Amino acid sequence: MESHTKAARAKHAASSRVRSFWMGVITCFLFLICLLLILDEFVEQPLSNKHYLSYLFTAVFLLIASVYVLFFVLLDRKPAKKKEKKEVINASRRGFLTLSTSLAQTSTVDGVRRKMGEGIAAITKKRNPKSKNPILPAGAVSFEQYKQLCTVCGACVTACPLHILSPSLAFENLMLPLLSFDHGSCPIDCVKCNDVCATGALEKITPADKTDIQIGYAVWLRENCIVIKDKPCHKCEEVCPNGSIQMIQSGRFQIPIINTGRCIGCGACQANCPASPLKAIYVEGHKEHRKS
Amino acid sequence: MSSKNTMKRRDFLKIIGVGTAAVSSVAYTKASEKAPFGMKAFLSPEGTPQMTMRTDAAGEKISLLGYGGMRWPTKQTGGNTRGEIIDQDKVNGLIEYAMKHGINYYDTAPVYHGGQSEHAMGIALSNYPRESFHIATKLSNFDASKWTLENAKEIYENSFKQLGVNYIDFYLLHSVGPGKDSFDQRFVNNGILDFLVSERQKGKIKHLGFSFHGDRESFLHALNSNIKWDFVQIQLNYFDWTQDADNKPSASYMYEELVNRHLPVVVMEPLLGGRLAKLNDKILAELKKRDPELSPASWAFRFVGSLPGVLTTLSGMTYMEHLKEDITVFSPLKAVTDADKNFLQETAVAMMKYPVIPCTGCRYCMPCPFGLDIPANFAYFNKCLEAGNIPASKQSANYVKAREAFLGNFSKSVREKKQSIHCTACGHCLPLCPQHIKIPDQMKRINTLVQNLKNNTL
Repeated sequence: MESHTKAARAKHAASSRVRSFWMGVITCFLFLICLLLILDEFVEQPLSNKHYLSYLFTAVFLLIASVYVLFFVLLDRKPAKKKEKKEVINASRRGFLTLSTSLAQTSTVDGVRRKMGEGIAAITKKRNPKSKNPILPAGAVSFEQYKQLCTVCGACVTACPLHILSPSLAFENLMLPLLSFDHGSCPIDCVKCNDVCATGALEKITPADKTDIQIGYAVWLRENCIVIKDKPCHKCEEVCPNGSIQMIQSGRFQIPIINTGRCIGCGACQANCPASPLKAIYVEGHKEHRKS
Repeated sequence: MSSKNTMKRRDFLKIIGVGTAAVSSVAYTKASEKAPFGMKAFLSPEGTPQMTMRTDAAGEKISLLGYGGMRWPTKQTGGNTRGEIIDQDKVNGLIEYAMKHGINYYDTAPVYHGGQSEHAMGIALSNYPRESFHIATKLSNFDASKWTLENAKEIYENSFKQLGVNYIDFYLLHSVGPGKDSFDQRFVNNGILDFLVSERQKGKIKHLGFSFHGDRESFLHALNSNIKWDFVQIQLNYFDWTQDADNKPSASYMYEELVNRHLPVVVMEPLLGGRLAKLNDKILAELKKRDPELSPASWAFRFVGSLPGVLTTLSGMTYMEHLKEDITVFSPLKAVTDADKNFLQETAVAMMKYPVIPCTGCRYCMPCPFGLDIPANFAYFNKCLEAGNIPASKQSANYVKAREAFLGNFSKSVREKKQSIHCTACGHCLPLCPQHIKIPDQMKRINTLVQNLKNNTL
């Protein structure tokens, strides 16, 4: 190795500099993505301290990782006589790198999970219109029974014509098909998921039976509603299939009130609510379905 | 070479270890259980609100919200027995939550859930120190052919066994009914009351009282008997407050009478069997105009809880959501103003215009000798009535069609053999109904409705 000419060493140094440049670019790119995730959270709703730390953590780790990658791992390719000593150091440094990036990864995963709406503990002025309990299609009888009988075959998810049934991403209910009403509601005359369910997790029912099953009840969130901003709206009342919502005069505004004894939790109000990004009316699921 | 491998293995273990730690730490950062949204009172954190307590004659603190044991959740599986067997796990969970949030009065009776209520509650409450809760149970000797002391003793002793306790805090004569003669025959002449008074002296019963569903005459007769009562349980809510008739005195009359005699009042049916929690649209609108964030049930509870003579209010909370909501209303209870009371009286008057069958689902009328499921028939009728009251313009065409298909088929709600058509007006159920419903007449009404639905003349 002593025979390496000065020129060869210079060439080697140059190419490794090029490599380190591109690695630096990639690392900065990754850092920017992470930064965007943080900013995205800020734009949607103010972060709690917990979120901020999580992303700061990720950013710091990636920064350290990129610095490490740039200066130690790549530029470590020195002549062999120092190789043995460097190998030991390399191994521990590589270990540090792997640990730090794996921690960064998990906190990023956590960040992504949070961004997708799982597990957000909103300490915000606007309440998060997300049901405390999972919402199950009519025929599920109760969450306990549903979870017990469902084999997560996915037939109901495929069968749902409105694509409102999707596998849960929550750790404790992994892949269990749950209803989400942000982009669609459950029509009274559709029982496709019940038809295809082979295990009895969703019992065979008819649309007539469905009118007598309450899977949840609607809840109105005043601070999210556009009527308090002097934009008269009665969309929820309009779309409610069984007349469970009526508008009443409250002070200056016409606000919706829900007859929770009648509401079957179909989600039409939530799906059609024009308030954005947070819905002003949403369905809270019943853990045990009720007779109306 | 070997040193490289050793390093690699150690690295591998380090990575796995740290990775697992990182992932599991992430998985456990879950939001703590939050109360459901939409309830004004829920915005305070759990654990800090205090249950309102009342003091009984012996100086003991009793929670203003008591747990009624007539409406426990039942298992929804099991084919033929669906809805008939109490779900013990759910009962345990509900009672655990109730105990944690200050409820210490638990009411049951041998007839509730066909005997299962006492048993299930006994099991659930056995997890707590005996002094931390008060049990109330009753002498349910309804069978007129068995109004003997021996039969009463059997029922009495069985209660102790089912509940698994050595003493009963509150023991009641179950549902003192119309007619003063029946009171004497049922409890006095056969020595039952004397027996119970001696049990109270021995300390096996702490407080002796009676629950009441009768007429004015029997009410006064029971009160004026030379028994020193410790408390009386009456049906009290803003709907029954002023409705007065000789065969069913108003709640205000009974309440005043008891307060004058210094008898603590235990309240049952604060929600009138759920009817005051599920109001029809017009009445609901009025309530919500007064305060959009208060639920109908909270109004009813606050009305009852505001009365100073009330010791506890029994609510049969089937679901955890009901339990949580009710606890919040009572922790602490915000009294109603006089203006609120007048408003609720107007509401009661408005409600009287709707000819629903006032069944509370207590099932005292069951079993019917001809196999009718009386409460189910009544529930079906009330649903049809409700469906008729909502204008079709407010509903989607698909829903109207589906609902008609449901209600048009009587058998979807009540099994063939149990339908109203089999009623022979034998009258066996009449004296048993605490709401004084003329059951055979109502069955005729249902028959007419079903006939009209078949002929499509509704």
